[in-house]
Amino acid sequence: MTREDVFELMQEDIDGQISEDRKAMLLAALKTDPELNRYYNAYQDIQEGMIELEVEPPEGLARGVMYRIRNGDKKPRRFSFGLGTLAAAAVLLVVLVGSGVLKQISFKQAPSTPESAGQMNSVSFSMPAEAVSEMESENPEHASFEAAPESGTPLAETEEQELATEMTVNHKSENVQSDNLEESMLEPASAPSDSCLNDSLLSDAERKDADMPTAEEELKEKEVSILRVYLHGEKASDVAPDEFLYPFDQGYWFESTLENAYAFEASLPEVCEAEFDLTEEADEASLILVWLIED
Amino acid sequence: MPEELELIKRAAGGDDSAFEQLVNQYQKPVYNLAYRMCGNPDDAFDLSQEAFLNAWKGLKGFQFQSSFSTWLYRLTSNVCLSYLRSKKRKSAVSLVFLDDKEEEQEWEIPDSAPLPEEQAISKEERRQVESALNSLEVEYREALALSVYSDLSYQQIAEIQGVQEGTVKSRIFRAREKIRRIIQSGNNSSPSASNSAKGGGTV
Repeated sequence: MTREDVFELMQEDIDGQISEDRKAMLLAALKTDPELNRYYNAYQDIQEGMIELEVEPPEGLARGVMYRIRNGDKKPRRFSFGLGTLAAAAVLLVVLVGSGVLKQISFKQAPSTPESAGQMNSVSFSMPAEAVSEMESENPEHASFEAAPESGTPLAETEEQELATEMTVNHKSENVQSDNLEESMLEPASAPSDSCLNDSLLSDAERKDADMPTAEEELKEKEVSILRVYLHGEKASDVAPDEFLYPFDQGYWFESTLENAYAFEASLPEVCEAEFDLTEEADEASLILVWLIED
Repeated sequence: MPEELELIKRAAGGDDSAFEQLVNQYQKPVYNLAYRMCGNPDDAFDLSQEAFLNAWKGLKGFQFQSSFSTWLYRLTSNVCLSYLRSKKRKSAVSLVFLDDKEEEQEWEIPDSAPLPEEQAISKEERRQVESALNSLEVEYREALALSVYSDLSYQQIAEIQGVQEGTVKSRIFRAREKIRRIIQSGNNSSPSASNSAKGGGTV
């Protein structure tokens, strides 16, 4: 038997495709040649390494496939809490909350339409409860959704509650529709147009294509200083400037959110349906992100 | 298997819930094949979806001339190869395809240079395995992934890759041998066993 034959037997054995008689031949050959034995062990180790590299498919894979099949191959809208989304919340709130309580920073494209402005004082994003709990359980050090201390809060508690409960914009699939928005008790000085809302939902790449500043640039420009997080309609966390700007790149809890991007995608069909159709299921879990501007 | 056959028939008839069961059943090997071929999870996610969508669209014409799994893996492979060929940006994986001329049926037997004493693949060395794997030619990665993650026979892999069974065995062997050499050269500054000699002596 040539060495070539033995190497072939090794592969067959490692691949689980060797017959009993050929296995016996392999063992006999390995017994008499320590060097071949070492090669055999090395290949087996590589095989074990390969097996250990096997990964579980992302949770959203199958659901994404079925969503596309059941919706005429239409890709589900990706939903992530990137800078673009956060900037959207920032811009909206900055424009709308306004005078007296918060520093008013006008949006460069914002027209003065108080009627519509009153309907848009925060931005809500819905996600499934399982995704939220996954984020919390997988990132206990970032469990700020429930327990993060308040810091730098510029508003009184009652005012905060008003903002949380009364200033809601429903985040639609492709744009924000004002006809489903709740009335606000506040009268902001100015409001974003629909196009502003749409623009604020653009990704950085899309902003670049549209010759707009990136979300990060816009955040700096607006001097956004506090991120307030609401979970299930209740305030869960305030995030300080050095935290919410830092984390996007370095792994604060927003990165943990991004790490669960597949979890979000996995439930996108349900989320979209709940959000778009405004069914009761939409209220199962809701994370509301609010950017506030300190006076 | 009869259950799977039933699911395939129902799916071919337009029953998306039957197809969903097939997707759930095969998503892991399909995803791992795509992952190993394209080298990153995001591409693997998208390409796996495309493969399943192609399967859904093509299921009506499925003639049962091959097994469903073989057909599905071939679709996955085609999607990945097509993507890799059109890929312009920098890739985490080797985009080198085998030249037909360099495809040899012969096995290159490692020379007798001493192997490192410690050849065991540690946890740390898994990373080396992955890195080495990503540097292999696409066809080698594919053959190895199909063997390891899809548990296919050489004949089935040959069917998917459109080559002879001997070529598949050769590719898998070469893939492992290349990985071994890469790991060895990374672990050992002494002369590596990278010089191969074609088969010779007897045992």
